[in-house]
Amino acid sequence: MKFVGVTACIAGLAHTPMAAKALEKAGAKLGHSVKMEQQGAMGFINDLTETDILEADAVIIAADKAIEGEERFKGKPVVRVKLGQAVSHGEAVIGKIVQALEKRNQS
Amino acid sequence: MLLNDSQIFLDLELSNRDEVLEFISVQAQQLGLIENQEILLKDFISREEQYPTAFQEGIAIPHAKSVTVKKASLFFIKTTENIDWNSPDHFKVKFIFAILVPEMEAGTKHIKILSALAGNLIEEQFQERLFKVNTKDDILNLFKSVEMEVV
Repeated sequence: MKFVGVTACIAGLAHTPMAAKALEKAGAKLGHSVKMEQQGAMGFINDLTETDILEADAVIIAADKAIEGEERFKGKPVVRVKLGQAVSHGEAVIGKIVQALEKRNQS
Repeated sequence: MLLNDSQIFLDLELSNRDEVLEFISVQAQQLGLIENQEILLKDFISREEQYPTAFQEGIAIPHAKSVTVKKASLFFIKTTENIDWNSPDHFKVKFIFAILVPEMEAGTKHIKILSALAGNLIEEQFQERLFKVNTKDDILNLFKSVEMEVV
C-alpha cells in the first residue's frame, strides 16, 4: 500500500524527524511505501506533492499539535496516531493501519 | 559548537530521570549556557510529563526549548546502570542526549544538526555505535558523523 502523512511535535526538532523516519522505515520493512512530511523547526521537510496525496491509500497524521494544510487530505482516509507510538512502535502502527484498510476494502 | 568535552559525562552514578535532568541543569548553568537552572529543570520535566522522551530501550533524548537557554547546546550522559525514565513503555535508559534550544530559535544550522541527530538515533546502525562508546572521543566522533550529514 501507499501512505503519505505528516509529523509535527511541539518543539519541532526531535520527534518530528524521528516519527517520520520510524514510519518510513517500518513501511519499507513491511513492503509499503510511506512518505512523511515533517512540519518542524526547519520548516517543511519532504513536502508532499499533489500526486503523492492522490496516489496514497491513506494519510497518517502523527502530531501533538495542529498541522498545516490538512485540507489537502480531503476525501482520503485519515488515520491519527500518537507521536510516541509512531517513534517507538512504527511497525505496529503501520501493521494496524494496513489491517484496518484491508478489512474496509473487503466489506 | 553544540557539543564539546565539558558537556560529555561518562559513567555517572545517577539513579533516576529527575537526577539526570537536575545534573544537566546544574552543569549548563556552570558552563554559562543558560540563565537559570531551575527554569531549565522545570522545562525539561514539563516536556517529559507531556510526553516521555525515552523512546526505546536504552536511549532518552530530554529536550527543552526554553527562554532560559542562551545558546543551543547538547549534553551527553552515559550512566553506570540502566535507569527508569517514567515512560509508558517502561523503557530503562543508559544513554542520554539532552538537547537545549533557545525559545525563538528555528531554521538554523544548529536545529538542523539536532534534528539530524534525532533522526539518526532511531537507526540501528547508529545505535550500535552509540551502545559501544567508551570515551569522550567516541561520542565526539559519533556526533561529528551527524554534523557531516548536514554540512
